[in-house]
Amino acid sequence: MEPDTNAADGAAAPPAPKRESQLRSFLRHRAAVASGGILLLLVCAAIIVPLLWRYNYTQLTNSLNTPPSLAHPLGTDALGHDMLAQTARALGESLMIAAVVTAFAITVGSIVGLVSGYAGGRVDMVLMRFTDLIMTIPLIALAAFLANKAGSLAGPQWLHIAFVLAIAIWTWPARLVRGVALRLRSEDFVLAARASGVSRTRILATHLLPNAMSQVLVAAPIIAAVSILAESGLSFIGFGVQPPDTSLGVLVANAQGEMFTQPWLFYPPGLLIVLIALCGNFLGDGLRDTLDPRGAAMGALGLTRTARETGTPPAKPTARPLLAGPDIGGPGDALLSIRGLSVFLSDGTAILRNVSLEVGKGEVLALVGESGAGKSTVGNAIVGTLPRRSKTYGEVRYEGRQLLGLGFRAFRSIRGRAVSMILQDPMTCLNPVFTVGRQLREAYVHGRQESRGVVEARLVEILAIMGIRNPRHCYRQYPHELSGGMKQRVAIAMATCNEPGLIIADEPTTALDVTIQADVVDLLRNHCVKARAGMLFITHDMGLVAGIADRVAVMYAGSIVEYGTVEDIFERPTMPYTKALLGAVPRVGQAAGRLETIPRVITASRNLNGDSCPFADRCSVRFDRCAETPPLLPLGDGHYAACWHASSLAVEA
Amino acid sequence: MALRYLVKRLAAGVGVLVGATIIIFLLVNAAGDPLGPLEQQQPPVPRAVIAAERLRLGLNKPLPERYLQWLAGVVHGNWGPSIDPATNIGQQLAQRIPVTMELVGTALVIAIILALVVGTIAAVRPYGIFDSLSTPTSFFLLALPSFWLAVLLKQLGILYNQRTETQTFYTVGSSSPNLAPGIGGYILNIAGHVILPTVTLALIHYASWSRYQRAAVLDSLSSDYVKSAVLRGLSYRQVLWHAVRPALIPVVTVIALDIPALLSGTVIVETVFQWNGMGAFLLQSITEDDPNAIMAWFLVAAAAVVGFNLIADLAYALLDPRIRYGT
Repeated sequence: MEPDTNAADGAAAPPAPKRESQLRSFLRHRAAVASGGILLLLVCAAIIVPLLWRYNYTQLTNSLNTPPSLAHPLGTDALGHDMLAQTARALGESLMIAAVVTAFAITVGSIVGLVSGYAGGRVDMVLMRFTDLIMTIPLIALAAFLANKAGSLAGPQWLHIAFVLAIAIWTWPARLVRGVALRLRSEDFVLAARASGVSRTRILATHLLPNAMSQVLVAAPIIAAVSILAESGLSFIGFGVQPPDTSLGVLVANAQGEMFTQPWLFYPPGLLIVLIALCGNFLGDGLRDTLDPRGAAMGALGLTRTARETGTPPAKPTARPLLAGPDIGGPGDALLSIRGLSVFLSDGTAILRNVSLEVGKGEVLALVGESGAGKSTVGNAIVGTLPRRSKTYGEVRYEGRQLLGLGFRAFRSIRGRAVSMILQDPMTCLNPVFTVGRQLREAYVHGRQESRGVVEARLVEILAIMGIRNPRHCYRQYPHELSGGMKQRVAIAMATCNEPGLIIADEPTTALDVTIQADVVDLLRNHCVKARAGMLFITHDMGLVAGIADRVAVMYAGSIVEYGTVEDIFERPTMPYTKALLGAVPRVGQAAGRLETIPRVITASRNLNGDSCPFADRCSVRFDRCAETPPLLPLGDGHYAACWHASSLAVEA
Repeated sequence: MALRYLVKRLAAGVGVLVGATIIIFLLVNAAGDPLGPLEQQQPPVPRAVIAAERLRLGLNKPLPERYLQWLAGVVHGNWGPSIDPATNIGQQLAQRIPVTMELVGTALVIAIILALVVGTIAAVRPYGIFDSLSTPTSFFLLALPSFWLAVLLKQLGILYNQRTETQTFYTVGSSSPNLAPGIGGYILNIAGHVILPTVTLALIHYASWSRYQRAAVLDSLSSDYVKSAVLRGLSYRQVLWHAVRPALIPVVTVIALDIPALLSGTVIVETVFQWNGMGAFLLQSITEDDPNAIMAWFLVAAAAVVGFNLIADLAYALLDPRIRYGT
């Protein structure tokens, strides 16, 4: 199965889930399905065995304390009870109690939770404080107390115990449902229903209840698991099911001294409890992954080495040679030189195809393209933060040193010192629990050798250069005390304090207010000019490019499709995609009209492996030849474009 | 500012405690007349005896007055008369609380350390060897009934003693006269009593906490601030600290929420290992239908929950600058 994924910028691109029925996706959780099956089998066994088995659970046989045999598959106890009959009865009692507890707790909990969450305000406060108070009483103590009181009431014993446990457990689903109701209360569809005069009860029943139900369904098996543990615990200490009736907890209590002498009495009931609780938890997990997939998959940062493969990258399914990389730049003495870089995710999806580019000292190269074009992947490949287990081909050289395939230690000597990177979102890139000063000090190479005072003075000075008004104060502040613009200035200070030769700025202005964007771009530009540092400026905003870049590489679907100086790209754009990007930029003096947009979304990387030009299905000037992928064609003076329309121009040049 | 936060939390804690006294009082007194069994006794007990008992236990007054009287008594350390005239509830508590605190405190420390270490290691290499072992283990422990594990460990302790012909583990009671000489013998004696019950309790609770810790560290590891720490060229250890430090905050919440469950666990573990702690006191009081003793137990449990939550609030303030300097 080929995952249908766009190579997302930056982090690992999780395979986009195919639309499939919830049942089918649940069935893929083998552990959950197996758990459901086992629970069903146990229920059947608890019903069928007492009907068919020759002994009754109260019946005393003549064989005392016999180990398992054909006559007594689970042995007998000291009084001569057949343990198969006893265990089946105990299983039935425990399951029945757990089922009633779950049903009762969920019903009461859902009603209280819905009312509390939907009503909000004072009602919510009173109800929630009440559940808080109930929850301060340890479950087993409350249940034991109530069970003792309920002992004198009429009716079947197991029902008493079920209600007693439900009284101790209902607060849990109540809080869960209340959370859902509180969230849904302010959702558009509920507000719309309210605005159109639908009654409160109807909104509760038709809008909130169905939405809360999925959460409750997920919690149900787990509540059942908790109930069975609570019931058996209660019975074990003597306040639950009373002999001569029996439950799994009673059986364990009876057998506690006989673990070694009569293990057949001790292990089966205990292991049954474990099995039921385990199945309940697995079932709940499976249901959650199906109904509430947000709780599932997470990716971790690759602190590990990314494999560098030698040889040519796989070019399946087509056997056609890859786009020929242009011989960009000079004799290879550039600061950063990338040649033929291809990156594949662990599942074989190509997220970068044969990318070549160069950045010289003091030069700014803008890497532009829409989201998913692979711009950030280029940045991540340089600093070694590609997704786990991805494979790379080609060369990434910094001052002639190959960076691909380096380990964490080797990369350490480069990161922050020779090459630094500024991330897109300043709100999340500073650790919330450490001060700005501490994080800056960590970044500062000389932070170790020099005294604290000297280091602080130097770093405060750098903060001041970054345009932070009260740098000494800022140095002692925590990230949450700063505005987004301030944080990004701190991030830039961090990235530039060691005067690195190369700065990778990954959409450094995207998350900022327009008014601050220009400041940040100026800061970066000035730093590069002053320190003669090279910069890879990654952006999707063509409007920013002209102000900062010397040269531009336009990326589309993991490849560079046009490359040239700012003048080349802005004055003589050749590739239709570049033209379309420029058309999407508003310009002063432009006649009022519609801004152009590029139709459809970026081609899925799966199609990247195909024969045709990746832009073909969005291109307005497509013709027969576009069924074949065009290479980057030189247009003269270091201007390249991957478009067959450019080939006529190329010949002229 | 941090002080204001703590004062606020302290006030909230006192509020919960006052609320708890009302709930507990209503619960215990609405659940039935403690003299019911006495009235139904055959041959009948003389009415005068019952009336005298009613007077002694203060049952002849209206409910609100009884509540206030009880509350005033509790504030002054007077827990009210027990149904058994020979029992002084306050004395019982003073003897038994330290026994249970020993169990809860030790188990809590073991469980927290285990959860943090196991959860973090599992998260650093998700689906690695350690994770593939620790994840099923914690699933199994989550499903394990505490009393069954307690019995299992107790019997294994007995078996070990028999095999080695030593008295390494003590499986009955929380203490015994020390026979071994010297400070080393003293420590071994204490440890021999404490180890099996606390390990039982710790194993049951560390499982879910380590899952939360694993998720929190995993979440933190894929965050921008950890990536930014990597990009700054920090060492592996520094990067790890950047991930683990913020991940400690959510785990504190989970642990605080689990304190009542931990107290439930002690009731069971004390039963199995026959400790004369609060657990045994509760079960005895319930069996004897002793309202003042039951109320005292519930109130002590509520106070413990509130107390641990205050410690958690304090931990928050230490761990999270957004709370320390928050508005």
